[in-house]
Amino acid sequence: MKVLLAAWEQVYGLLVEDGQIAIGTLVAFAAAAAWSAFGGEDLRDAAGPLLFVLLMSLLLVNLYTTGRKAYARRVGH
Amino acid sequence: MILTLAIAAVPAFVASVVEWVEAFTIVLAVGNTRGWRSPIWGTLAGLGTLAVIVGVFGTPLIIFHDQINQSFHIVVGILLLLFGMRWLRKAILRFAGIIALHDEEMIYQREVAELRAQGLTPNRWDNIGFWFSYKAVLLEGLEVAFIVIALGAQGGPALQAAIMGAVAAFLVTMVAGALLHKPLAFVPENFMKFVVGAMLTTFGIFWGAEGLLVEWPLRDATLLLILGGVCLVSLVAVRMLALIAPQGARVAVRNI
Repeated sequence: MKVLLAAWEQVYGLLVEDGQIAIGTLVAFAAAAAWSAFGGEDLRDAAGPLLFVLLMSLLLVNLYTTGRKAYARRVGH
Repeated sequence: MILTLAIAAVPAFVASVVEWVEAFTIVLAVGNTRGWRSPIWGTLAGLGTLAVIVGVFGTPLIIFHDQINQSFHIVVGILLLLFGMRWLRKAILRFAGIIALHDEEMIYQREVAELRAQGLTPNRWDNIGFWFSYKAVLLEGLEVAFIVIALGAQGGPALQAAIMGAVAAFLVTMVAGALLHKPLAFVPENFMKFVVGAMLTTFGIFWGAEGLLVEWPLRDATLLLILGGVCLVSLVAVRMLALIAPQGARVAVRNI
């Protein structure tokens, strides 16, 4: 049972370590999907670059926040 | 065809080396502290379990690949993105000194101390040694299995290439470990994790968008453009973190 629980935690941890990144990734994909579905034929192919831009922005924002938090912790100690 | 196979085999190999090195460190600690019989059986049992997992989840991919092509691209794309972005973020934080680098030597010493604290059993079969090794191989191998299944989602040949990459990584790691008989601390795990994170994110964007019926202008060659973009953003991120926390923040990852 312990091994199964550890395996589940491992599988969950594979995908979700930072909630902001995980949820942000899903939201970015949903936004790209909405663009693709409702943007019409002409704009559909822009959903790929849009997904790239959204994800990279998410990564930068998340890392910026993490860096600020980590620095604040160090200065606080 | 060759590109498809390389796309599946190379990241599977690199990611698997990282995971097998981590599993090897624990199995080595068990073997050197409690004897080799139980950890070898534990390792074999762990590998057998992983083979079953890949078989159960991988076989439907081959059989039903054509019927579920589009929706499957979406699912695999999202999974690769979740997995890749996680590895990428962690590797960037390590490059910037925000979290500690993975140190196989330190992990080995910690495992040895923990195993010694459990005490040795007088009988020949060592349950602790077996389960420690089984758990290590299974848990680290789950990441390998996940990557193999995700990269093999393009169909039968891709799945075979991904499996071959993972098996080759296992053999290389075991041979190197058996020859050196010490933790493989020289393997540049952080750099390799960054490479895998960047590749998985790239494939996730590419396949995920294809699932949304996007046609990439340069077809498969677009992969290189996306990969270049991901690497560039990562470089910017490391520079940005160096400005925010010039000497690194040196805090444990769990505290972030």
